[in-house]
Amino acid sequence: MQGPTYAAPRPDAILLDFEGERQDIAVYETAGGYAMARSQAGRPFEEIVQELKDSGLRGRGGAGFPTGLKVSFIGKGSRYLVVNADESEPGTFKDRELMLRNPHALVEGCVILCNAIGAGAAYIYIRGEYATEALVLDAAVAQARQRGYVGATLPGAPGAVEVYVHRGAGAYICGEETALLSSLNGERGQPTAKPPFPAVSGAWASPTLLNNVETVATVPFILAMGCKTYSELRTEQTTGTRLMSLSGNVARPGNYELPVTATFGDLIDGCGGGVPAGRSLKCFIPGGSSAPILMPDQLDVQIAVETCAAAGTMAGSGAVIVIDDRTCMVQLALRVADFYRHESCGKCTPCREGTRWMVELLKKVESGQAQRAEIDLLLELCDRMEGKCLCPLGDACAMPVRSYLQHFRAEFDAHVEQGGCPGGAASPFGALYPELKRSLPLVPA
Amino acid sequence: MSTTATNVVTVTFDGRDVQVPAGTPLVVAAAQVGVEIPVFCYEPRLGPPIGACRMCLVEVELGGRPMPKLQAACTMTAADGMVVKSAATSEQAKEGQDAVLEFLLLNHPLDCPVCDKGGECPLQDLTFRYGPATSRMTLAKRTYEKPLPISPSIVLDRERCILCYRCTRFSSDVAEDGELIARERGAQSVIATFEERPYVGAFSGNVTELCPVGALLPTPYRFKARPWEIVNVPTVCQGCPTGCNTWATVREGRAERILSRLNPAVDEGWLCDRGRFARHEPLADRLTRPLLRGADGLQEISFAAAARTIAQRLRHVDSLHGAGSVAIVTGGSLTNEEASAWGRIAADVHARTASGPVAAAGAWERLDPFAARIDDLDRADVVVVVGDADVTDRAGVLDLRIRAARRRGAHLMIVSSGGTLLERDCDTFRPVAAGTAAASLQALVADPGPLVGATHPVLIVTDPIDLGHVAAAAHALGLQERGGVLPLPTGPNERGARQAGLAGGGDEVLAAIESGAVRALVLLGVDPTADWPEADRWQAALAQTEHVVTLSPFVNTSVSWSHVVLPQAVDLEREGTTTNLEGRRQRLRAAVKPPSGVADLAVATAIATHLGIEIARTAPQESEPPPRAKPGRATKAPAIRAANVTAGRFALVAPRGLFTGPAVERTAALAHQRAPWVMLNHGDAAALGLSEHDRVTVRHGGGEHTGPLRTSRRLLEGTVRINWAGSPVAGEAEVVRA
Repeated sequence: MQGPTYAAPRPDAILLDFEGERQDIAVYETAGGYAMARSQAGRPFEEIVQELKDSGLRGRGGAGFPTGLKVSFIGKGSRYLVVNADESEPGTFKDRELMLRNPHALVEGCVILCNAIGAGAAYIYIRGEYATEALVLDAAVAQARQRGYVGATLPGAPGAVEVYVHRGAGAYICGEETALLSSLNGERGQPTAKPPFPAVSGAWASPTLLNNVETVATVPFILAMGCKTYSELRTEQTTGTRLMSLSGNVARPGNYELPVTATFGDLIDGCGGGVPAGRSLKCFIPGGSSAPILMPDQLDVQIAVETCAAAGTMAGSGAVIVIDDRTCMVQLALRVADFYRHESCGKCTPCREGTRWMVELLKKVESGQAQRAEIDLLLELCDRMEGKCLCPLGDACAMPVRSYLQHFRAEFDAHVEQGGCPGGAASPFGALYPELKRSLPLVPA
Repeated sequence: MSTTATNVVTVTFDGRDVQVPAGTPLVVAAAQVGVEIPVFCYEPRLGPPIGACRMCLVEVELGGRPMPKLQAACTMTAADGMVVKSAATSEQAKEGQDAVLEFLLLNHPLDCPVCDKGGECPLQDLTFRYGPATSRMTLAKRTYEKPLPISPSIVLDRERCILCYRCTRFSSDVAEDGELIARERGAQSVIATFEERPYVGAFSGNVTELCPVGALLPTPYRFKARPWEIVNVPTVCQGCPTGCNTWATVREGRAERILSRLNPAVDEGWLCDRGRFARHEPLADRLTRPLLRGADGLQEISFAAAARTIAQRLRHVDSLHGAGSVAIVTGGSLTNEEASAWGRIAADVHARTASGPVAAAGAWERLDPFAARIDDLDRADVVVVVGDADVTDRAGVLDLRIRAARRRGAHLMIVSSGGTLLERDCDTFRPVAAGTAAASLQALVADPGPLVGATHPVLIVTDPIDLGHVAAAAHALGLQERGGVLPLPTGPNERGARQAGLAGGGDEVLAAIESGAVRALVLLGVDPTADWPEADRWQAALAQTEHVVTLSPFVNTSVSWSHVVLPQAVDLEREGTTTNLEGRRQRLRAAVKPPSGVADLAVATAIATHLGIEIARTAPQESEPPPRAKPGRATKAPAIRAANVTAGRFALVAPRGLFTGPAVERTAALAHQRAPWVMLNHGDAAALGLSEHDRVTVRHGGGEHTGPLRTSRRLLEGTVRINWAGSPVAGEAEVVRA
C-alpha cells in the first residue's frame, strides 16, 4: 500500500540546531550560552514561573505536564532541583544525544532553575548505562564551575548552585519520579504513594522540582528568545519543538528535532525515509513502547500532546518505533511485555503478578499452545492491571498489549488456530530474541 | 456537608456519612461507619502507609467529580465532601478488589490445610469473603526453596509470601535494625536477610505476627496446633517490668505460643523475643513438692506440713531473737496478692525485707513527684537515657518506644560509656566513664544540653544506681513541672512487692546476716547467690543462717543451703495482678495449671493463718498508674565514690542482658541470643593486636567470659563490655586473646 508522501519538515530546531557538538564551554558560550544563567540569576521566582507558563512548555519526559505550573507548585523550605536523565523507555534516546552534543544547555538550565526556585543544588540522575554521557556531563559541570556558573553565586542570584551528576544502577523504574527520588535518597528504587508529591517532599524529604533533561535544557532557549516567540510555534495546547527518537523498520533512524506541529508522517517518511523498500508500514509506536500503537492511516496525526491523546495514544517520551509488515504482533507483544515484567519493581501486587502472568500467557499464545479463551483472558488481564497499580509501570505493560489485540486480534487468533506463528521465519523477532522464544528464567537459579 | 471545626471533615462511605479529622486514612474513617475496606499492607504502627498491596482500592469522588482511577484507601486521606464507594457498592471497586485477590493468589501455594496460619490468616479470611472460587492460573507457579530459617526462631516460606513489606518495614522503620530486606525485583522479589545473616534482633518475633499470611512463622509453634484446638488466654508478660500485654496460646494444657495483645499505653502491640519465646518448660529439675531438710537431707513433705513448719520457725526466731532476726527477700516474681500476704507475714514477724538487690536503687517512691508514664514517650520532645545498660536489657519494648519518639522528632540523648544499641541513632552522645551514671546525672544538671527549653523531656536511667541521685537531678532539671522520669526496676513486679510491704534492698539484708542479726531467711522466687551482685558473700551468708526457706520453681543454688523448700509457680501459671514500672496494675491469668498442689498464694495464706493473720480473699483489681505525687523540697544527692581502674586493666561493663535468666536458659529457640561476645573500643583492640571476630577472654571477679570480639568507636577507651549472664559483676577486668 502506498501512503501519502511527506516532505522533510522545515528545520525549526532549537536545542540541536548545529552540526557536531558543543561539549566545550567556550564553544557553547560563543553561541550565546550561559548568557541567560547570568542575566536571569536575579529574576524573581514569580517572573520565571510566568515566563514558563506563557511559553506553554510541557514536560518532555512523558506525561507532558505544563512546566510553569509544576514550578509554581514547589513548597517552601530548602528546595532542590532534580533532573530526570534516567532515559529508559524503549525507543527513547533523545536525552542521550542532547547530553552528548549540548551538555551545557542542561547545566545552564539547572543553574537558571535553581536560582529561580532558590535551590542550592541540582541532582542530575542519569541512568547507569549512560557511562559516556555521565562523563561528558561531569566535564561540563567542571567547566561551568571553572567559569563560575556552578559552585559560585552569580550576580543577583540568591546563592551558589551545586550541580551533581548521580548515576543510577540500572532500573527502568527509576525513571518514575518517586522511584528516582527513593533511589537518590539511598533507598530501594521503588515508587512511593503520592501524596506527598515531590514538590512537597522529594530529595532529602525537601521540596523538589523534578524535570526531564529536555525540559530543563529548553529553559535557557525559551528565556533567550522570549516566551512569546517560543509559544508561536504551537498546536492548540503544545508549543515549541520536540526531540523525536525514530527507530525500528525505517530507512534513516535517529533523533530529529521537530516543531510540535509536525506529523508522524513528517517524521517517519520525511525525516526517516519511510520503511525500507519492498516493505510496507504495518503500524507505529508513537511515544515509547508503552504507548498504544497508531495505524498507517494515522500518519497525519501531529506529534503534540493533545493531538496524540485525541488519537487514543500518547506523545510520551517522543520515541517513535516503526513496525513493518514482516513483524508478528504476538512476538512484539511478548517482547514489550517481557521488558515490563523484567523492570517491574515488585512493590505493588497488580504489576508484580500481572506482568509475569501476561508474559507467560503470551508465550503460550506465541508458541501456539494457547486456547482462544486465553486471548480473552489477556484482555481481561489488561483490565485488571490498568489503573490499579501504584505507579504507571503496570499500565505501561497493559496499554500496548491491549492496542495490539485491538488492531491485530486476527493475528493472535491465527497463532491459536495454526498452533504457532503464521509468519514463522519471516519475522525478524525469532532471530533477534531466540532466548525469549525458548523460555523465560522466572525462578532465580 | 458541613464542617463543625476547621480540621473536621465529612466523608460519605457507601451512603453513610462520617466526620473525621482531615488527613485520616480512608480505611480508618470507613471502619468508623462499619464499612470494611480490606487491607494487607496497611499497618499504622509501621509508619506512613505505602499503598503496595492495592487490596483497599475504592472509587472516590471529590468535589462532585469522580477521580479517574481507583484510589488506595490507605494512602488516600479524608477530605471534606469526599464520596467513597467500596467494593460493596461500586462495580469498579469490586473489580479492583477481585483483581488484586486473584493476583495475590496466582502464585500462592494454597496449602492452607498444612499451613500453621490456616484458620487465623488474613489472606485466607479475605479470600473466603471476597475472593474467586476458582483460579484461572493454568501455568506453573513460582517455587522457592522452603522453609528457610531466617533465624533459629523464625522460618520463611517465600511461596506463601504476598510481599506486603510489613516485615521489612518493621525491621527498617520500627526496630531500625535493617536486617530484614527485600531482594531482587518484580515477580522475583523475595524477602531475605541482609547478606544472608540470621535475623537476630531483640524484637524479631514481631514479624511473625505482622505477616498476614503463613510466610513468617515462629519455629517453636510450627505444626504445634490448629486454631480450633487452642484457647488464647489474656495475660501479662513477666519477663521484665514493662508489663507487655499478651495472649498465651494454650493447647491441651500447654502454653505453645505467646502473642502480643495491643495495649497502646504500654506496649503498642510489640513484644521482645524474650517475652515471646522464653518459656519455663517443665523440666526434670522442676520442684513439685515441698522439701524439708532432715537427717537424710531434703525429704518431701506435705504442703500443710511445710506451711506449719515455716510459720513455727519464723515465730520462734522472732520471739527468741527479736525484731530484724527474720529476713524476707524477693526479686519481683510474686504477684501483688502473694506479695501482700508475705508483707503481712513480714510485719507480723518483724522481718527485714528486700525486693531488689540494692536498697537505694529500689526507693523509687522518691521519684513519685517526677513519675512519667510509658506513653509520655509519645509526647516527649527530648529523651535522655543515662547508664551503661541498654534500655532493651532492662525493659525491652521501651527501646522501640524511644525509637518511635525519635522518629516523631524527639531529640535522643545518650549518656553512657558507649556500646549501647540506641546510641547509633541518637542525636547527642555524651561519653562518660563506665559505672558513673550518678556522676553523669550531676553533670547533666550542670550542662542540660538539649534539655534546655524542652517542654516534655523524659529521663530514663538504666543502671541500678541510688535513686537519690535521680531524684535530685530530676528536681534540679525541673521535671516536676515538665516531662518526667521513668524508673526501671530490676524485677518484673518489684514495684508491687515494695508497695505490699517488702521494701528494702538485698545489700542491707546481706550486711545484717553477716553481722549475725538474721537467723531466718526467706527467699521468695529469687536466688541471690546467682541473680544478685556479691554472689560469694551471699553463699557464705546462706551457709551461716540457721533457717533458710526457699520458694523456687526449680532446684537452684540456694536450695543447697535451704532447710525448707517450697515449689513455686512459674510465669503463665500465676493468677493475680502485677504492677509494672509505671505503677500500672495489670491482671495475670493462669494460662496453664501449675504442677499438682503448687499454689503460691494458698501456701502464703496458710503460713499466715498459722501465725494468726487473716488474709481476706479479694478479686484482683486492675488500675492505671497512680497520679503524680506533690513535689517536696529539693533532695540532696548522695555522695559519689569514683572508682579508679588499675593501669593495664579495663573498666568492666556487664549489664545483665535481656536474654539471661532461667527461662531464657531453658529455651532452645533463644540459644543463639545467648552467644557470648566481648566489646572493645577499636583503638584498644588494635593496641592489643585484636580484630573483629577474634576470640577474646575477659577475666573478672565473677569468672571468665570468652567470645568473639566486637569493636565499637563509641565505647570508651579502657572499657570492656560483655554480655555476661552470670551473677552481676562490676569493677575491673583483664582482656586477653583466647
